[in-house]
Amino acid sequence: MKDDDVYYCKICNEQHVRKSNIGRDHYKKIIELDNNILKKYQKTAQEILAEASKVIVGQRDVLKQILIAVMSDGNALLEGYPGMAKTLMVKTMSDVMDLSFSRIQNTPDLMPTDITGTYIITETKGNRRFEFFKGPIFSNVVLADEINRATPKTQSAFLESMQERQVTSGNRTYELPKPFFVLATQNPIDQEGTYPLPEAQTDRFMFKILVSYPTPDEENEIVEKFTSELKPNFKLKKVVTRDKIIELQDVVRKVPISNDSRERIVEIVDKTRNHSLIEFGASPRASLSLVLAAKAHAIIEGRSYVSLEDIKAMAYPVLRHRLILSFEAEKQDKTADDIIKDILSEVK
Amino acid sequence: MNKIREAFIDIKIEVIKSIILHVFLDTAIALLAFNFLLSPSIGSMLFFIVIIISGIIGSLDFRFRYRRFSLRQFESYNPQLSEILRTSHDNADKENNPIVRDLVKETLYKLESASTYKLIGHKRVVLKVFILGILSVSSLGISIANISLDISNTGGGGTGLIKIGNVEIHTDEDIYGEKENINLGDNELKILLNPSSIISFNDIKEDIEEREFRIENFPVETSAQSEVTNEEELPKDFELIKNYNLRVRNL
Repeated sequence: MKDDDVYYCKICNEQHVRKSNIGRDHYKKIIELDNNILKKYQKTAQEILAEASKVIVGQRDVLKQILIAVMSDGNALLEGYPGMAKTLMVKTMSDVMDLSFSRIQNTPDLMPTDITGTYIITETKGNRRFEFFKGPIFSNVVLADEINRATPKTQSAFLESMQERQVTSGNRTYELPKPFFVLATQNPIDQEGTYPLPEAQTDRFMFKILVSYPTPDEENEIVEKFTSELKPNFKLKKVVTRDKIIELQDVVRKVPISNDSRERIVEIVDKTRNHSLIEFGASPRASLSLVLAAKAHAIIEGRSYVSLEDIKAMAYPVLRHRLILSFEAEKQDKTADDIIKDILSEVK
Repeated sequence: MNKIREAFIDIKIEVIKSIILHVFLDTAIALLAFNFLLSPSIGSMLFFIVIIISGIIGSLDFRFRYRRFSLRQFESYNPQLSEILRTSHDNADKENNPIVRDLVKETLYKLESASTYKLIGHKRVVLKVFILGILSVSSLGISIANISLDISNTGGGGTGLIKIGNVEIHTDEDIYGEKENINLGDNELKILLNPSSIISFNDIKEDIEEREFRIENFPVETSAQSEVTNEEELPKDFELIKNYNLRVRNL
């Protein structure tokens, strides 16, 4: 046998004969590659999505983006017309992930203490003292429904919890449970009686997820599912535990990213600051969010590295609420997504 | 992790090989092209100048190609390695990260199917070899055409031609000697004779036997005898001087 007919396999550390059946050990190694750590987490993520899809028809991208926000330890703002199952989606995701869930229905008369909790006088054995009663914010998943209906004072009650993962009441600070996410919803129409979220608060949301109308086929399935003789009663499996979610968040941070990809992300964010149709561009927090989101997206896609595809897919939900468009953009009827698309087309 | 570093060294070696091949071809093309274009005008300095220019082009080409090369370029020739190679390269030091370890395994696996054949770019190589062939044949053809003698042509007044008898010679070629001399034609030739027989007697140093002066070694008196065979016609004054000298001698 000539030397040229044999080659050294860097996976097996063995020599193989060229143009012949590769040894069994080689295939064993390839199977190991398929069963690597990342594939395990990809499988977990896919199971979460599959379980949530039992209740939510269509909206696969929205569910995926919610999951990515959870995996990246970020908060998400869902925007869509009424009746688009925004609240159901968030509830379903929390059910699937075996996390404590609380819902805050925002109204103009909602007070910050209704969210964070308050001190109440309690009496035990004749002794009266103030005791802190935790508000609904002390949950793993907080659904802030119609957040733009709350007053700015109440909205700001979310600020500390969203960023610092803690609540300060009086002179004491209380840590929030881990993991912690605020998944807020808002309605783009019905502007009367609403208070648009201040920029400081929108920036704290990692994603702004747009919930669009279902396709006719999907809508047909929704109608069939929810109007049958039997009332829908979905028994959802708890796919992941709280600890598993925390583990998943740690893994996301470990996904390697190339220097080129990191530079691309910074380039994209920087372009938003120098665009003629943008009044104010995205903050460095956007770069951080985009890196983490791209890493989480890579895991869901089964990649052990961040690719341009991940960055492009995540750029829309990460950037769209962080851009303040100029008058010229409004005049040209351009949306934030249109401008992000332009920026992404320039990135190679 | 050492394996991935070794793999990157292998890639670098392959890249340098392909760069050297292209630089060699580019330099050869430049050499022949300059030889082809400049030969009528620069005469005997041709070879030296062309070699220098080609050498500069070759070194610049190597520098440019080496600097321009990146892992991204290698990935573009091997789409299955797209982005994965750069990520492995940039994270090769994170040995404790299990995902990076998986990534390295995957990279090494995919590198098995990577091809340096595309890196060389066979189409470009074939094109360059083809250009080299054309330039070689062209140079050879022109050389042959230039030394052909046209005996039937009785002209010779044009530039670059000289007529020797019935033979017309292209004077552009330096193999016929100094171009200026050939181009004189019917003009007057100024010749400066520089005799080689001028001898400076001061420069001649013969070995002279040094003899010790002693009284007994006093030289024997000698006399000179004229070898003049025909009668000299001397003026009167000279005759007087001659007689005077003879008289003085006899004293």
